[in-house]
Amino acid sequence: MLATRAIDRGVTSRAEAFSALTDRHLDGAYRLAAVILGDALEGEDAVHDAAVVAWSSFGQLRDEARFDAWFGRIVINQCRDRLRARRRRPTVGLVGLVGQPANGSVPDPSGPFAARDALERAFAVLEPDEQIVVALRFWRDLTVDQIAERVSIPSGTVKSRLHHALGRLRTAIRVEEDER
Amino acid sequence: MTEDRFERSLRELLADRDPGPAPERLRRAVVGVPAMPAGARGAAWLAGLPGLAAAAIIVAVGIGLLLRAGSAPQGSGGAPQPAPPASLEPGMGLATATEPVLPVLILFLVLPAVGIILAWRLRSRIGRLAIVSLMVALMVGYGSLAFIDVLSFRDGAIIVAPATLDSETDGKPTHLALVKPGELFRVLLTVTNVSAVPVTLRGLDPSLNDIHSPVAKFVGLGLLADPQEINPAAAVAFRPVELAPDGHVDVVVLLDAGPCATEPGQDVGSTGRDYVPFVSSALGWERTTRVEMPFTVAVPIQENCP
Repeated sequence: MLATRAIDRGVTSRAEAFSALTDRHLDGAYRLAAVILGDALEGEDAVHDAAVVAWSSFGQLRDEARFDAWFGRIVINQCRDRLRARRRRPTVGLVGLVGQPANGSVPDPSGPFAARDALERAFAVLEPDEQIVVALRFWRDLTVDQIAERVSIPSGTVKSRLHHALGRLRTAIRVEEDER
Repeated sequence: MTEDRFERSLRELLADRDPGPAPERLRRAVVGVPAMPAGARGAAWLAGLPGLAAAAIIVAVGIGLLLRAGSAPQGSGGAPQPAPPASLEPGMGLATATEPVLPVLILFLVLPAVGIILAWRLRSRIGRLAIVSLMVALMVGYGSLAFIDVLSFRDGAIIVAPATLDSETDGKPTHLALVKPGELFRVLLTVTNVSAVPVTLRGLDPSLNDIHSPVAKFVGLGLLADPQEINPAAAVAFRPVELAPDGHVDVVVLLDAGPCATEPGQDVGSTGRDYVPFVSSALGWERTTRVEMPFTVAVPIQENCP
């Protein structure tokens, strides 16, 4: 459909088709990357890297109507790699040091946002794959089957990852509430 | 916290991370990706460069091993190729084991590098564990080739020429060679590859000869001129032989009786050899192995001979 529209506009070259498709789906990809990574700037980098990877294998995409899902999968893979790299090199965000929530931020047990801090910290230490399915489920509002298709894993695995991730997040909240 | 409140908090957390539409600079950068010069897009394929390099090394090593194997004569079950014309003389068939540079490189650089790259790129934890286990098993298996016994005289021909007096010492047969001082004599043996991998027999390592000892010295190695005729006197110069697992070959070891040899009798001692120092290689690991003989070859020597 999109390709047809591109052709209708007279955009026939491969590079122009790619540019038109990425431009159209950029907002969704960027927002998803930023939500998964919790960092808008890193989200920009992830999407840019994903675009480079996508362009290098654009010729393999048979059906340009599926560009959104295909590009989204590449973006998710980039995010997963970045989350894994982040776990290997734990960092403390400067924003977190001055009191706003970020990875590695210091909790404030007396403040009104203690539960939120605990949730954010617990989310940051989830497995990268768990962070991805939670973001797709509770931010993108995708169903389990849609997530399975988007991430290329069985539905059962999605359910299992969601179950474990939510369990760990609930536990973190409960511990924080008990401490108060 | 109730389930509703928990889900609401989680949704709020994620919604707060949403930065909204992509900034213009990202849009320009992404839309311009196809126009980027190839070098500027290097980051993506640079990430795969270590894998490509490792693959190239493996291919090169494989080709090298194949070429090496191809250049060695193929011993079908140990039978040598058409014999060279030269008859066995001292100095023939001697070899020295080379430093195992290539196997060490594979063991300590290539295999770990390939394992790390593959494990890095795999998304499944089980897959990574499987890759790491496989690489460790390959390293242990390949490394153990440097230490296991690959050759044996477990069966086949045993002939010492010329004549011997046979006896038994501590339950082990002893063949006492009846030789004159400095005389050369021959021992015909069947060498078997007892390992599970092809082994190339490269020759005899004379470095284990003790030059100050009156014991008979290893001075040459040959093959039978006609494998069907078990005649050590008709041995010819040695050429490297590749032995398949359980493959075997008849070899003739040439020994120098030494200046102290004498006729057996009273006031006469004897010294013997009960191993042969072969140089062999298995999958690139080259080494000298003392292959124990099922008997001792002894030479009667004069008492107090220097």
